[in-house]
Amino acid sequence: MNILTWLPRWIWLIIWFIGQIITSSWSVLKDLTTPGIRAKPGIARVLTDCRTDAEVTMLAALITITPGTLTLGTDVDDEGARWIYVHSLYDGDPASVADGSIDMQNHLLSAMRRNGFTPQDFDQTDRHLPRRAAS
Amino acid sequence: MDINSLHTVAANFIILLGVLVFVVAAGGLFKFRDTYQRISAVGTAAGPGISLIVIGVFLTVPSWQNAVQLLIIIFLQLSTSSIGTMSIARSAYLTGVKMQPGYFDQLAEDQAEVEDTSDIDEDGDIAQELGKNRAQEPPQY
Repeated sequence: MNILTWLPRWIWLIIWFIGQIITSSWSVLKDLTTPGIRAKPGIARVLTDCRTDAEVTMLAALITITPGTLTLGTDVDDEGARWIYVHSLYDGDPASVADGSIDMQNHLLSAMRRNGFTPQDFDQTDRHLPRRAAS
Repeated sequence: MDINSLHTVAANFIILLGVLVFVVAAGGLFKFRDTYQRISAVGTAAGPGISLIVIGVFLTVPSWQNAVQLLIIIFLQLSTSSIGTMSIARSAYLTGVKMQPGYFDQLAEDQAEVEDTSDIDEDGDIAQELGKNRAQEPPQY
């Protein structure tokens, strides 16, 4: 991973993201054209690897643009880690919302960072926002 | 089939994809039940929907000048639609709109925790207890 692959990584992000929009549009369309609503909406917290405000803004924007998901807020905890709150229509439980968001984040960060990004494989299910110090 | 009609077909196909995104959004606006689901559907139409239609229009009249305009339009459209969607959804959440139905809400859990810690003073005592003690002390002049 170096600066030579930076532009191809951006192009791959755009192609992958168009694919994401098409697949998630399709799942919304399927739900709308069949009787009843299969949506199980909920808001999940997701721990991101974003280091700057620009990265977390881009991630929130991409999640919002994708049909069926919506970013509702961000938070920075005591350790400086950035969290986002994602509203999702079809995932059904917090763990799979986190999986989808982390997948998006891995594609985004590998395009945005000049030296690339190797995704860390950690479990999101038991993650919990650390209490802020009372001040 | 020559090249000219081929790229017209591609342009019309992409415009139709954009129209499909709009149809999904309009259907979602009627069928979904609460603010978050509806604004989620509408934000999709305002971002990728318009972008796809503009890409299709660009393919019918391709030129370098139009390519620059296309990139500016897509950038502005995607950024403004996503930021607008997020602000509306966030203001709905802050004014206390409930999800119907809501299966899980971890943002509410964390908000409740933050409110709990805000009651704790610098000393670590809980403000409510301090208030109780203060009420028992005689007033000092």
